[in-house]
Amino acid sequence: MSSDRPRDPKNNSQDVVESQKPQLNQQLFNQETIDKIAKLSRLAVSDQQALAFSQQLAQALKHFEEISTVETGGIEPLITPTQIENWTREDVVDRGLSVEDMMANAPERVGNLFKVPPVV
Amino acid sequence: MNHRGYESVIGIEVHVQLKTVSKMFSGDSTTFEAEDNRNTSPITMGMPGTLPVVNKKAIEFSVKTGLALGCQIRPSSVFARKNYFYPDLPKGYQISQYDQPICEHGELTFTVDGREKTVSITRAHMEEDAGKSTHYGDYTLINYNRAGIPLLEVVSGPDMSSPQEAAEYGRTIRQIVRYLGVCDGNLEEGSLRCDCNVSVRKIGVKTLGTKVEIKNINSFRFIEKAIEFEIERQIDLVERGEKIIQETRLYDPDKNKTFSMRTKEDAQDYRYFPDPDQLPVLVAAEDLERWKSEIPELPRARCRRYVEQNGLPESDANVLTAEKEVADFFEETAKYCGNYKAASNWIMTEILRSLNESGKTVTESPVSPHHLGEMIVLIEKGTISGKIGKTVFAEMWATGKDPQTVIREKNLVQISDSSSILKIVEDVLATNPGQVADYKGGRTKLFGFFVGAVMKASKGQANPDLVNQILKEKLG
Repeated sequence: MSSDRPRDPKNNSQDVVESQKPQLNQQLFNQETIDKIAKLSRLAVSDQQALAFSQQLAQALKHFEEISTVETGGIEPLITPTQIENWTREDVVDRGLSVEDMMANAPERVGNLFKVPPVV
Repeated sequence: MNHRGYESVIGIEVHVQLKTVSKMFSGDSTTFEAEDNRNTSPITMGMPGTLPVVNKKAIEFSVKTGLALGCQIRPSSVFARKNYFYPDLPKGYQISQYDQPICEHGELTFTVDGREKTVSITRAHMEEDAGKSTHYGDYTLINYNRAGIPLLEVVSGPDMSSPQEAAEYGRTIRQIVRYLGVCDGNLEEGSLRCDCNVSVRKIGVKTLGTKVEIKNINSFRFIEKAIEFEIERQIDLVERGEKIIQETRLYDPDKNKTFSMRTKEDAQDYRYFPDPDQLPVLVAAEDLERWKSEIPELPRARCRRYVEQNGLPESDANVLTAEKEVADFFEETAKYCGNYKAASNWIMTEILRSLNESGKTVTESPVSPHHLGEMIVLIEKGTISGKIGKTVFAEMWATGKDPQTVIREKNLVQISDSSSILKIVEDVLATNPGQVADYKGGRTKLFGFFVGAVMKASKGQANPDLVNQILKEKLG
């Protein structure tokens, strides 16, 4: 079987604009939103943690609300803060580390494959 | 195309694996045959403190593909993080492009059933491949050799309306990326992957139906079959008043069916944002010009040239241009012998058949274009007959020798002097007095018998024109 990945809504340019627009609303962090974020992050969050997180996240958002009051009309979004123009590598193979090196941190393995809990 | 009063709407996403030797953002090798997890590094594994740096060759290959598909190339495009948690992506996100892809607004024209079809290319964006997971019920094993291999995802508009158009679109993309040398186009090894989005609607309805995505189709013939099945399945559902679920389905070629891979319980939220580790991808004007100049003549243009300038039938031109290497072989041969039709005939029959039988590619052909061209010239000059040419070809194929040597060694030179042929003709007539009498008595169909007997007696080496001429004289 091959890998199974979620699909991509990339075709819809409407989505792009919507998802990148900051939605600064404290109501954003109700139980449902916390559950959704936890699920997307594959985290188990208890009700008590959810309450704590919602307060922390709301606080974090408050900072962004302040930032969002700055007038940015007519300014291009900044992709990177560096002044470097172009930075690419040549197409050259570099065999730095061995398979053993790369597998050294694997909590579980079968041969040279990483073993993880079932994902389907 | 009308299916029981419905029409289908098909769009295709093709993942083109770019033929670089190292990965998109790291120096890991991209070899297909490699020990498990051998082609990995801290960058591929998303370890903290690593900095992925983009491979310039991947940019070049993407731009060339975009140009060949008539796309506009963004002078500055942006890598974004597509966030999702799945173990085939150790970083927790895939580096991809989102709202500012490198190529946009192209189109592709091809022929289906003798009719021209143009499909719009919405966009083509660069991204890194994910690792390969293999599922074993209560656990999953992961190999990250594929993670980070550069892909160009080519997204078509929903412009196709039949399974045949979809398959031909896929074939044409494959042909072009192979011409460009940016992808080996191997569907079975997954270096070209086609995901098909299919929906149906009643003819006359303008809004799109719910689309279903079909993945994991490893041949163009299966694309056709999978879409055919899917169209019928969707029409059945609609006719029964059931809802089509937006989902991903897989095609099983053994059962010739698609089946549900997973239902999308909740909409995915990839939380795309520009990757802060990446700079914008700048395509400098001089690079763009150089890459443009390096794009070879593409199959469609080449095919047209063979028909219009070299007088080949379109069917021949299509076969010869299917693969760039075959077309190159053809042109070299034709240039040497000056006879396009003869070169085409020999390549379409002897060369392609011999390659096929021996499992060789045209670049491995033991008969070089130069030798084949030389042999065609020898036939035209009358040194050997066309029939002997096949014998000479077989010997050239077996030994790799040039035609002159083969003809000399095997003593295959055509007999073109009248006195030698006259002698053979006289012998043949003398040993077949009955047939001679019958012929003279009116059974003129026997002429072919005499020609055959003379050719046989000369081991095929007699010049057929002279044989005909002398026989006619002798039989009166």
